[in-house]
Amino acid sequence: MTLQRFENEPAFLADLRADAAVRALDLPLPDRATHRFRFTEAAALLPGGACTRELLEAPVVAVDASFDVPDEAVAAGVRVLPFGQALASDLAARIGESLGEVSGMDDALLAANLAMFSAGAVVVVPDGARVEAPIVLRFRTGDGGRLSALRTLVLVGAQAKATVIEELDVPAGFGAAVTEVVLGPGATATHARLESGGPGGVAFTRAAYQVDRDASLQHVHILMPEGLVKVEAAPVIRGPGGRVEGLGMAFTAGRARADFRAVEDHAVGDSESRVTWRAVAADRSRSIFTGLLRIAPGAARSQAFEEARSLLLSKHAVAETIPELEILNHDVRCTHGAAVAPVDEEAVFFLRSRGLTRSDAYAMLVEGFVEPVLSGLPVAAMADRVRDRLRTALAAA
Amino acid sequence: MNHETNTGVAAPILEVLGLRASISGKPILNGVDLVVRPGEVHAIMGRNGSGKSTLSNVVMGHPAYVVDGGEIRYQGRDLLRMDVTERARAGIFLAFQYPVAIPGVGVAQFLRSALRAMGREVPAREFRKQLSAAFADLGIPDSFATRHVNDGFSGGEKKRLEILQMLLLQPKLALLDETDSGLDIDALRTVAAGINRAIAQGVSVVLVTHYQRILEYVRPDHVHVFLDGRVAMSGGPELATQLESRGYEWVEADAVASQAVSA
Ligand SMILES: Nc1ncnc2c1ncn2[C@@H]1O[C@H](COP(=O)(O)OP(=O)(O)OP(=O)(O)O)[C@@H](O)[C@H]1O
Ligand SMILES: [Mg+2]
Repeated sequence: MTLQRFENEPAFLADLRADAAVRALDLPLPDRATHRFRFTEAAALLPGGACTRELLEAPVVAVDASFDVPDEAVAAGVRVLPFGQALASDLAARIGESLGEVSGMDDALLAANLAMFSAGAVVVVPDGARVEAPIVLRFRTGDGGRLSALRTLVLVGAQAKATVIEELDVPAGFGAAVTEVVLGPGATATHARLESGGPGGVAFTRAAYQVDRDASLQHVHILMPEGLVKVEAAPVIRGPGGRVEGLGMAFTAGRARADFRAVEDHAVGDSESRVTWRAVAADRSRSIFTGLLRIAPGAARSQAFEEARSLLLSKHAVAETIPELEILNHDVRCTHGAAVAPVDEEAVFFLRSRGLTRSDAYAMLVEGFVEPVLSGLPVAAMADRVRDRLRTALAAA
Repeated sequence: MNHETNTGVAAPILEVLGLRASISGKPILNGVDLVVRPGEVHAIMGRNGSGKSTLSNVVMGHPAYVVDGGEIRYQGRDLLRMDVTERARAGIFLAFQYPVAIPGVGVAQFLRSALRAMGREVPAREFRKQLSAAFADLGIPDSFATRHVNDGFSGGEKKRLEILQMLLLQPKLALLDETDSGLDIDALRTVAAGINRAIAQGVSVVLVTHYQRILEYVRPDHVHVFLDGRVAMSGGPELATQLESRGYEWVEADAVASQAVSA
């Protein structure tokens, strides 16, 4: 099979791709009987509905990429490179150590991504480098019917600090993006993904995180698809003192579908995770949240909290908000809350009695509903983008 | 030429004529008549469940109520043809008996949006000054500017905020639904002073209350007693005092008697 996508791929990548391709073709595509895919079957996420040799060998689909790297980051020695360039640089060995290790390739979709990714980025933050301004990676997939596969690897060194924002736009066709983030001991990192796409766009993304001792991760997912997105966030806390804050929201309208799954995995104890999710579904859209809190047998004194709420703006909209627990240690604190509710018509009446139009009242209630997420976003511009999108969508309704 | 103008009596700001309304198929208002002229203060009293809030809600345009008959005219216009937003923008204000919480929306942000909606956008700095002054007038700490609207507010705090909204939005007709309920003595004075300030500015007021006490601060021109979804008795301020001593059975007996007479 011809799997090479970049010039002069190092040997480790050729091997990895070959392994991944075998798995991609051998493993059955998960159907709805597989828990992780029970709301969105994997076949819906691939062109032609199957993982085939032709898919894996298809020519590269162009992806527009642009990166914002603040001066501050450059000065601190942070490296931000397109994936192909990073492979050809002195970073190759480090990439080889981590690529595929965090996210794995346990199913055909993940294996296919590793076998065929042709774009993406590598971010390396040296030990002790502390950067406040966000590094922004923008990707926009091209070409109607085919699959664009992206891969991002973020390595945050010990005691380092960084914020990486990935924006993925899938205007049409299929996009798949897998991001792996490794936090060294004592590191502080925010990884945010903002997903948008046209009515014909289908995206599958996964962000997998490895959180070392005393490290602190914030993962953010903002989903505003017009088509279909299936998104996974999967942090694993591997060192005591590790902390994870998961923050996110989905806004869907028209016939859009968003399926978000978070798995907060406490592999060790003395660790903390906190997930806050808000979904707003309008028209005939569908929004799904499943959030698993997993506490390993040895992970004593773990604390895990999850709060997910969905707001339905139409009686034809559907939201599923499902917490899941897999707690194998008794010495833990876990709470979870989930709720799905329509718009409070008394509140709409109250706001209209103060002069607001119906759509302004809805916009205000929706913004208030997602406020716990917006107020926690790493950069204000992200919240502004969400507000703009909400206002435009709700004014049109 | 208009007869009323000739006699020097101002045209009513609100005319409720034979109003019948229901909710979930259950009739609540059974022919309400009420005429409010500009600048007047009307107090409405009556038993729990007699339809006082229903009247306020129907005048404001609450979508859950169905008007089955009668009419409502506001400044001569057919109010029933206007939606809630239009009524608010035309100058009708309702202070809610149970103000609604708007989680996630700060008080200042909400008030600024409401002013903007009323076509009275003010520059941020001026707005902050206005708000701070209004907070001071109503004894609300400045920290409330960033608190979420009515979210976790005490009963009295909610009522103060309702009056603050009335003063800021400057309506022509204010329907105050039990704004005096649940207030401590100081809060009652503060709120009454706010209402009197609005009255001094020419706002017409319909004040729904269970207590004679607020009427010692806010003097009504007319007092009406609600009974089974109708105005069963009307009078001057003295009616409130009589009610206090004689109770609603007196009104009931009187209503039965007058029905018997008219039959
Ligand atoms: N959604 C509803 N469905 C059925 N009945 C309702 C509904 N809302 C109000 N009612 C009924 O309408 C009647 C009038 O209620 P309303 O709130 O107007 O009374 P009120 O005079 O304001 O009473 P209070 O002094 O207790 O505030 C009550 O019997 C109440 O139970
Ligand atoms: Mg009432």
